[in-house]
Amino acid sequence: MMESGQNESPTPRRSLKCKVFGVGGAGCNVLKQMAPDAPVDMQLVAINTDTGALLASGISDQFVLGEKLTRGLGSGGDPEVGRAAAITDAAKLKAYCEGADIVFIIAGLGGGTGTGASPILAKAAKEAGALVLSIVTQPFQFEGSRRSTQADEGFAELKRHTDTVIAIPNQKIFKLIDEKTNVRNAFTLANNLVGEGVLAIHRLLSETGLVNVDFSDLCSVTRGKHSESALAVIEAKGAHRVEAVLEKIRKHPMLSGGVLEEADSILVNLTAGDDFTMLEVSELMEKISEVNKQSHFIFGAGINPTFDGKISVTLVTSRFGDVIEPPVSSRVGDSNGVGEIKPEFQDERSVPKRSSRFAAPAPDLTEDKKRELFRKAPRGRKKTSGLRQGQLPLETVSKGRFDKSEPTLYEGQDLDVPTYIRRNVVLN
Amino acid sequence: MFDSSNIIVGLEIGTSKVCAVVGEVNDKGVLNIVGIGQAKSRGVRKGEIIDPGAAEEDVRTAIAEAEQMSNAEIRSVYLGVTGAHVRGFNNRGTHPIVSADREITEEDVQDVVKNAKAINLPRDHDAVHSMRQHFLVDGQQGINNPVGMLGAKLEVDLHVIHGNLNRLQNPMRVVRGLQLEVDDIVFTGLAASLALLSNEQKELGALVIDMGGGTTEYVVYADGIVKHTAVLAVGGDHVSNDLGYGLKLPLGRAEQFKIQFGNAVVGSDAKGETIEIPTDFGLPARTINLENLRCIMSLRLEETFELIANDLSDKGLLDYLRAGVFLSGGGARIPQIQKLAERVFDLPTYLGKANSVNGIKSALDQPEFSTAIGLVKFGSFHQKRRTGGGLLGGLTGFFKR
Repeated sequence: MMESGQNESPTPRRSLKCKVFGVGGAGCNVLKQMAPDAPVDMQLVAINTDTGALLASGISDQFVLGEKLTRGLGSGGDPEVGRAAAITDAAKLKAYCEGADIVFIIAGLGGGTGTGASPILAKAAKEAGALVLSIVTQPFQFEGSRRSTQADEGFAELKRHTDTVIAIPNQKIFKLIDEKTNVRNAFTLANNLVGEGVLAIHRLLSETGLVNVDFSDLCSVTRGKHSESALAVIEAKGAHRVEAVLEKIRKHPMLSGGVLEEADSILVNLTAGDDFTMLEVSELMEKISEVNKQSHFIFGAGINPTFDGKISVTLVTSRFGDVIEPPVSSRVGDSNGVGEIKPEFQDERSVPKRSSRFAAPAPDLTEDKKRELFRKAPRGRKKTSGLRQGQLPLETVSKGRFDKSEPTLYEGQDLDVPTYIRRNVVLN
Repeated sequence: MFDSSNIIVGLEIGTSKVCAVVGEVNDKGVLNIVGIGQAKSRGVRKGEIIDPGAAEEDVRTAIAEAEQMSNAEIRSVYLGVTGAHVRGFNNRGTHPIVSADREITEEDVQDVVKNAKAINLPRDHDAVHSMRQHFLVDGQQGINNPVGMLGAKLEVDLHVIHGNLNRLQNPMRVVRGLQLEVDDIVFTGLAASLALLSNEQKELGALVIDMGGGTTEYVVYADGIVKHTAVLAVGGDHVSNDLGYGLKLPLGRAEQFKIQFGNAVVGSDAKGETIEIPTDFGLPARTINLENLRCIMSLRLEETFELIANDLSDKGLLDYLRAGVFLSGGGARIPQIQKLAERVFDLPTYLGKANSVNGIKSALDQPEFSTAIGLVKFGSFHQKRRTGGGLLGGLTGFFKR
């Protein structure tokens, strides 16, 4: 794992230094909202390209990104601007991250600053030797496809540079609100979900539990092939608190729509006061694992005296998705100094850029040269095969006599295909 | 020459063969099969016409043969229809009894049937049959004839079989192209069940599976009425096609091997056995594993039965089949098919015989002819009603069990 540059003390858990960066408008709003609840050892930093929005956030530690570039007027929803602004201030960002063990990045994806600057910040934080954990929101559906495409691209980029990313789709808060909820309350709710998540994860990492969950556990849930993560924090108190918690899990908007049932890995952390009984632990865990039996389960439990009388459950789930992991070779080493950041970023940017439609005119070549190039061509193609449309290695079954007739579909199966093939019976 | 008014002809344009059966109703009203004509079918796939020209030729051949054998002139036929588009479902119609004395009259019965027929069929679908199941008077079930009873609300359950109008008309056009009239169109599965089942069996509850070349039709009777009908567009052609694909044989050869070596269950005797394919031109002979052949065949047939069994169990009909399962069509010729069906349905299974009709014994015993014979039987009911009471006619055939 990563070694922190300054903090080499043998008990890092207790003195875990944690910085929370809110990037962009959404990120700053979340910070603003969670500021009153934040523990003292948590340092909050607001970062934005828009000076006005920064001032409005009321966070004492704030930082205007790319002031020269945007004159503090925001990024105009363009991730390229956000990214360029972050790159110009990369050194400062890194300096901000110095000394932190864990860096949380909170951003709303889809806009300019959050989408463009977060990956750069993540990279800088990693270089400063911190563990990086991003919690981001994905745009509402009504924000349109452009923002959602930008968000997806930003997400992929961010995933490449942070240790773990948890994405929270904003669309899901519609399940939490009724038709009378006004816009301000709706956004407050969305921000709350993120803020609670940050605090819960901080708690999870900073407190040593009876059954401990640490950062690598969290990473094992959210890293690698996992693409869609969900985070939910549920609290309940009173006599029937276990039932209440389970009921809330069932109804939680972030876990609805089969998120829990289809998850491939689940992390559950229980925190409660001294009155937490073993029976309650076993009942909770049994019920939660009943929902999804085949997933990879990580379980943690801790006692916190301030939670007297209530139970708090933090659930992090994730599912294998089709987000393409960048090839190992393109993961950039962490050893580069600050001065080298600039060209490297630019290099990387050119990688995902789509090839232009413009085709250069054929150069004048001799016959021999042409033949040589022609022979080489297949090899050259092979190299880029990673980007090409793949074909599943399926045997295409000819339907023989029924090739051109209307297929006989029955419950999603084509009955014209021989039964033994559909049932995978091997003939000897 | 017979008086052609007593002649009833059933014509089935099937996927593998076209078959015309001639029946004669004698003075006592007893039906007698007097002639059969058949021809290999070339213009049909999965029960539906894909080449009208070829189909017309085959129909002509079959009709000519039937005319010759029965020494009768065929002017009109009862035509069997099938295809994946044909479906059956149950519908209920309601009619309030408004007369002062609350007695149900014949008109009320006709009204309620009319209401039940006013159903939302899919667009461009048309009803082939609508069959009365039973009446309900004020929610009281199982009433066969409500006329004369007292009640406030009369309901009727109908079983409606419907299909795509254009696709139903394709075979009719072929027949009319030969200057033959179509008396009525009949769902082939229903025709097969008419030929196979006695009234007792219908009363007890029976499943009739007609496994043809391109389609498999099945009909469920319980308590004497049709409960369920459906078509699976899977048939003997699929078995041949599977064999052709799995054993890498030309289709013709696959078909031949199916008939020669086919079996519905793999069986221990097939282990290690091989079939040699004779080759022309002195090429080295290929051998085929008999076990593989039977395995491919058995899986397909088993699946077909399972699909039917699942459908029936979804509809809760499996428990009604006290008389058992009756197989007909070319598929009933497959050795041990009975055993396979018994295993899948867990019910006694019989190879259906068209027992309910008199006539040429050799024809009645053949499972392939049961549909065409059933068509004739349907025709005899139909004509009896027409001459007897003239109750209902037209396209939507209406018959009593």
